[in-house]
Amino acid sequence: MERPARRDLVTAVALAALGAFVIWKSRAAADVAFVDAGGVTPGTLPTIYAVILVVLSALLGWQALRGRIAGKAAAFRFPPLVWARILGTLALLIAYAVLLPSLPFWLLTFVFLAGLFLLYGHRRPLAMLATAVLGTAGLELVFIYLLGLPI
Amino acid sequence: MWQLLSGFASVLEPFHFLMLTIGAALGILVGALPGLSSPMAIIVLLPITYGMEPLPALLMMVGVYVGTKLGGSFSAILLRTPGTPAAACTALDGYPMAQKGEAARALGLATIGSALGGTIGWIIAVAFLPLIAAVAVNSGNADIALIGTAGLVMVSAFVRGSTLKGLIGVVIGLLIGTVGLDPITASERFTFGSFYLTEGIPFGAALIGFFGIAVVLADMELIGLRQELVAKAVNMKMPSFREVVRGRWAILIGSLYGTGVGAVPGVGAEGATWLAYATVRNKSKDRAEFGKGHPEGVLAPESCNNAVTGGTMLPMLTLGIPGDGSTAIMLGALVLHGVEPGVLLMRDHADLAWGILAGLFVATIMSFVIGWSLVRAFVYVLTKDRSWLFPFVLVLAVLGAFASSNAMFPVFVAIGCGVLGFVLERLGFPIVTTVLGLILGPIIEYNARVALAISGGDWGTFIDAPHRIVAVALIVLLLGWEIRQAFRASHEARAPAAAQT
Repeated sequence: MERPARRDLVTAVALAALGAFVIWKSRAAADVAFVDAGGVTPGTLPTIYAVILVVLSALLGWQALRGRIAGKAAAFRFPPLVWARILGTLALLIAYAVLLPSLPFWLLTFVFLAGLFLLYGHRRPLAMLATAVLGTAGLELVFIYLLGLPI
Repeated sequence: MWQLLSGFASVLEPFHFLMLTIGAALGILVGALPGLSSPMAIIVLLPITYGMEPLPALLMMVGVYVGTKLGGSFSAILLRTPGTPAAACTALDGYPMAQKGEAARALGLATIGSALGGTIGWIIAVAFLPLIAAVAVNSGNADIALIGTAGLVMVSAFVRGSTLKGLIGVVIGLLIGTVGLDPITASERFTFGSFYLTEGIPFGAALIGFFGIAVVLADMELIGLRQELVAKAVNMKMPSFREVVRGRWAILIGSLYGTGVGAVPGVGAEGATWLAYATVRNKSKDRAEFGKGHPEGVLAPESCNNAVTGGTMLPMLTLGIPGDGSTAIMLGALVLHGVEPGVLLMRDHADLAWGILAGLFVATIMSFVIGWSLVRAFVYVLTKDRSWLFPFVLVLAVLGAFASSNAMFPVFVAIGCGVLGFVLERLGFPIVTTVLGLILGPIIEYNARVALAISGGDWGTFIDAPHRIVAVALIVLLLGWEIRQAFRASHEARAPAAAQT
C-alpha cells in the first residue's frame, strides 16, 4: 500500500475509535439526564454525530484499502530543520503560556520573541535584540497600558 | 434604501472609517505576503477588537478581508507566487506581463479589476440581500436547523479537495461543539470533570488555534525562502478608460462568477477565479495569447476574486452560514461580541448588518486608493523573510485567546486547536469545515430540539412543509452523491491496479 493510502487508513481507524468512544460516553450522558420531547437526550445528537463519524471513517478506510487517496494530503515529511522549528515553536509557545501568569509580561515576551528569532535562524544580534525590544515595548504599550489586559 | 444609507453614515464616522482603512492597509500587506492569509490576519486583530463595539470591530475585519484580495495579486504578478490561493490564476498572465517589462500595467489592471469586481459583487449582494433576508426571517426552528445542516453538507460537498474528508471535518467540528453543558437540560457532556469545560470549548480560542497557530506551524517550511522580484523599480500604471472598456466582458464575467460562487458556502474564491479565467479565455478571439501576458487574463480573475466578497456576505448575513474561512471568523467575532448570527441578524441587528455591507463597498474603494498610492511600500515587504513576523503572530494569538475571557484556559485550547488544525490540514482535512461544524453545531442542535419540543416530539416536523422537504432532499442528495462518488472512485482506483497484476 502506498504511503498516503496507509496514512488515510491509520486516520480512519483513529477516527472510528474516536467515534466509538463518543458513542460510549454519550450513553452515560443519556443515563443521567431526563428525556425531552421526541425521545431526545443530551446524548442523542453526539451519538448521531459519532455514528456518522464511524460510517465516514469506514468509507475512508475502505477507499484507502482499495488504494484510493481521498483528496490531496500534504506530506508530514519535513527536513529535520523544519521539524526542529515546528517542535521548538510549540515548546516555546507552551512554556510561554505556562509561565505567563507568574512572570512579568514584558520579560517573558522579550525572551519568547528573541528565542523564536534564534530558532528561525536569525544570526544578527543587534537586529534581533532591537526587534524583540521594540516589539515587546509596542505590545506592552497597546495591550497592558492602552487596552488594560489583566495578564 | 434608507438602511443602506444609514449604514454608510455609520461607516463614515471617523473612528469606524479609521478602523476600516487600517484593516484594508493591513489586508493588502498580509495578502501580498505568500503564506499569510486573510483568516490569519483577522485572527491577529481579535485581541485588539474585543474592547470595541461590534461595528468598528467587524469593519476592521471587512477591511482586511477585502484588502487581502488585492494584495494577493501583487506577489502573483511580481514573484509568480500568489499571496493568497485565490490569486494563483492572476499569475498566469500577470507574471508574463511583468517579465515583458509591463509590471506597472499588470498591477494597474489587477487593482482596477479588483475595484470594479468588488463593486459589481457588492451591487448584486445589496440587490439580493433584502429578498433572502425576508424569506429567512420567517423561518422556524426546524427551518433553521435544516438550513444549518444543508449549509454544512454544502460546505463539505463544494470544498476544495475530498468531500469525504470535508464531511469528516464537519463532524469533528460538530463533536467539538457538543462539549460543555447541554443547551436544553444543562447536564454536562464530555467535560471529564473539568470545571473549565462546562462552558464548552472557548469558541474564539479555537478559531485562533485553527486559523492562527496552525497556519504558523504549517508555514515553517517557508522560513528562509527569499525570492527576487521580476522588476526592480515598481510603480503602478492605471489602465486607460478605453482599455477598461475593452476588458468589460472579462470584468463582468469574472464578477458574476465571483458573486455566484461566493454565495455558495465553503467554495470561496479559489475555484471561481479559474472558472472565470477559462470562460474569458474560451470566449476571446485571441485565446492563444492567454498565458503569455493578456490583460484580460489579469482582469477576469482579479474582478472575480473581489466579487466573491459580495457573494460570501449573502449567506453570512442572512443565514449565518459563512462562505469561506474569513467570513467564518467574522461570524465568530459576532458571537464574541454578543450578537447571534443567523436568520434573525437582519431583523434584530439590521443597523449592524447594513453597516457591514456598506463597509464592504467603502473597503473596496479604500483598498483601491491605498493599493494605488502605497504600492511601493507593499512591494518592498514582498521579499522580506516572514520569520520576523511569525513570533508576533504567536504572541498576538496568545493575547487574543487570553482576552476572550481573561483566563489562561483558552490559551491552552488555542494551542491544542493549533496542533489539531496543523495535523488535520496535513492529512487533507479542510480546516474550514471543522470550524463551520463548530460554529453551526450548537445552533443546529438547539433549534432542532426546540422544534421537536414545539411539535410534541414529532420528527415529522422536519418534513411538514414543501420547503423543508426540499431542504431534506438537498441534504440527502448531496450526501448520496458523495457516497456514490466515493464508491465509483474506489472502483476506478481498483481497475488499473487489477489490470497491472
